[in-house]
Amino acid sequence: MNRLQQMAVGCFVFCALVGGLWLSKGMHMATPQQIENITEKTDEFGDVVPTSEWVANPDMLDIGLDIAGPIIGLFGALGLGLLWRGRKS
Amino acid sequence: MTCIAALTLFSSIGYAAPTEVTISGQARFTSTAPLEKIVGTAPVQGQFSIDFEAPKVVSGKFTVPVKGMKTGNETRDEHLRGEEWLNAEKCESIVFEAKSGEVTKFQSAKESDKGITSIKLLVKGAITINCITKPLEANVIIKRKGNITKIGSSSIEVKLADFNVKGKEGLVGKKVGETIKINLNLKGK
Repeated sequence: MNRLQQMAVGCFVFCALVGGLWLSKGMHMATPQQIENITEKTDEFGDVVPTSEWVANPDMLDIGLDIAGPIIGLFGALGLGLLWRGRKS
Repeated sequence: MTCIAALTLFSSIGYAAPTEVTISGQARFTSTAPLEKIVGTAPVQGQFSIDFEAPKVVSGKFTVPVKGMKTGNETRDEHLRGEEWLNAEKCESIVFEAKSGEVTKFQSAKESDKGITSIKLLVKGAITINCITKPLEANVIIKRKGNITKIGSSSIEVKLADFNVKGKEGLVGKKVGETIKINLNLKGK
């Protein structure tokens, strides 16, 4: 395996990691930039009322397909290109 | 004279003036599609009128500014406001006008241990989304304690196709549910 092929394998591994991350984070279509922080309070009527507030998502790795898709596409294509050139050389 | 006094008494017992309530809070909407479940919130403001002693007729108007709708992703929120979806430029708000109400359960403050008036009713009215108005019925519960009033609702279902909300081709039904469920949580005086 030459250097280009090694780099191609690296690209495919990176793609698999990004894909795995996307799968493990719930396969969101869009990246959840903000998440709902739901707090429950008992109001003056004696009912438990959930109140939701949008807060910045602290999990930087919580990515959606809008980010994972282009990354996988780009590195997948790069990997294929490197593999092709590696085979020629 | 006796007749006037009797009429005054009768009107005060049987036909107490409806209370005008200004209310605000949050609507929570859920879209469930095979590819994704989207949850969002929107601010709601409204006024309604109801006789808390003998609730027969309810009327009111509730407004949700489309630009206030949030789903946790700015790009998606932008799309939501776009022409293919809720068209916020042309149709700034979602409006529900309550025209009548059918009381399904009523408990006055006097009957309640906690002094809470509780009214379950089926509100009938019209909702305007994407500048298209359609009739809508919603099961709501109105509670009042002192001068504080709150409204909660069971899921109100709105079909996007009824309001010509098509989205980008192929998205509705796959990534966005064909029917959106809305729950209200409002409070006011």
